[in-house]
Amino acid sequence: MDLTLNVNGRPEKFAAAPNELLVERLRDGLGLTGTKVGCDTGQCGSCVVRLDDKSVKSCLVLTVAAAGSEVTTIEGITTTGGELTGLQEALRQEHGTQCGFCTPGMVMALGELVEATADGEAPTEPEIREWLTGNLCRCTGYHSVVRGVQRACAASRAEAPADSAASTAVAQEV
Amino acid sequence: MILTDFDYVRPAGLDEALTLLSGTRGARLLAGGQTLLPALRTGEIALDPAGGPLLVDIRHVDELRGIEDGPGGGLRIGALTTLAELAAHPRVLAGAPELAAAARANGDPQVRNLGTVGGNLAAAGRATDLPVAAVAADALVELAGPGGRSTVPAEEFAATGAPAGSVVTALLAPAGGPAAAFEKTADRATRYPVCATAVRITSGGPRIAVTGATPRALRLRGVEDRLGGGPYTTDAVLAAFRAEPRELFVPGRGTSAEYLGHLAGVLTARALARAVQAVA
Repeated sequence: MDLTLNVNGRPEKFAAAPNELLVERLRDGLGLTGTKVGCDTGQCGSCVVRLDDKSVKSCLVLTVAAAGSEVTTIEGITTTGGELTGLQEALRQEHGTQCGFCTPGMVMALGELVEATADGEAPTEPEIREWLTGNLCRCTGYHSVVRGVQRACAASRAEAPADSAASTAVAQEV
Repeated sequence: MILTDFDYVRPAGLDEALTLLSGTRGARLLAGGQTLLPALRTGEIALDPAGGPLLVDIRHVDELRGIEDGPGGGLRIGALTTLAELAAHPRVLAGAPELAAAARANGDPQVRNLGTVGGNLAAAGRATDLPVAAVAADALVELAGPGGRSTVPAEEFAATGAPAGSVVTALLAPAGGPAAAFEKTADRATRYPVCATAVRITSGGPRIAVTGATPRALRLRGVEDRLGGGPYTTDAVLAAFRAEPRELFVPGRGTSAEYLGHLAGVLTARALARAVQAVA
């Protein structure tokens, strides 16, 4: 089937078989290998991307079913090359990555939590842990990831009174 | 990678979806895909190559969306409402908290972002979380099929499933209130329930439903009758469950009927305590 998929703000036109999974198109078709494949059955969360702003598992979405939607991958969350988002920087400072394989999926999943709570109370530790149920880290590095999210939320709130425009920009970027 | 070939179509509306379903032997509905796609991936669900396998993607059918006023002061929950939307909706949290809690117990945030109410109710062969809460809430499942619209009690739907060629269009939850709760012990790997229970306390006594431990989401009227107006102490609830026939509970991976009966009692006791507390 011929279709157009908007990936990281760019329209991509290609033909895809109906049984192709979104993660296969992103990695093998478009070369966006930041999105990982772990279990391929929707349990590990290494393949999380944003589909119309919601975090989803790209191994549980057909490419043809994503046609017309906006897809954002880990490659698409920074505007300029190499600059980390607030969440990524906070994860780095808290040593929230070990081998790094689960990290892109975690960043894409947790970005939704950080954004969704940006205008209210910061998420509590149990809320952050509950949000992580769809992301498996085989190095078992969850504690530092949780601290990273807390740091990111605290940093965006500390900026808010001084320069609310900047904090909004950070939130959108994350 | 899904190894079976199939065709894919995105109907513009419900009528077109129904026409496609009745016109193609191998047609199957796709909505959020969070149960169907992994099952196709692992081969747990196989599409019949001879039947002209076709996935009819209804995710963009707007008339199946939204939570609005339902009959009798209740809620009409569109079948394409995502589990994340259901779990966070203020009117659901206030009027049907067992449905909100069951929605939240499914999978993980990403699965709940795509998984739908209709798909969760109709997930063939899987003990999902929403049906047991719908049974305790005494909800109705609204269907559209070749013969028109119909409604079926959630308990009956849990036994029969959706008739061939039909689409779940909505879940109709009666006006409830806060006296309800949901409890679950999840399989650690899959997040499907080993056992989940939902309860609602009414003026006529409690409604108690169990899934996971039982072949499908079931009302346990014997337990309800034994407990009557309460008090719902843990001892009383466990005794009421011990009086149920052991055959009711179906042993699973690493679980015996004895264990499941006890677990169902413990979860029900917790749910009843929370439902009582919610109106205290």
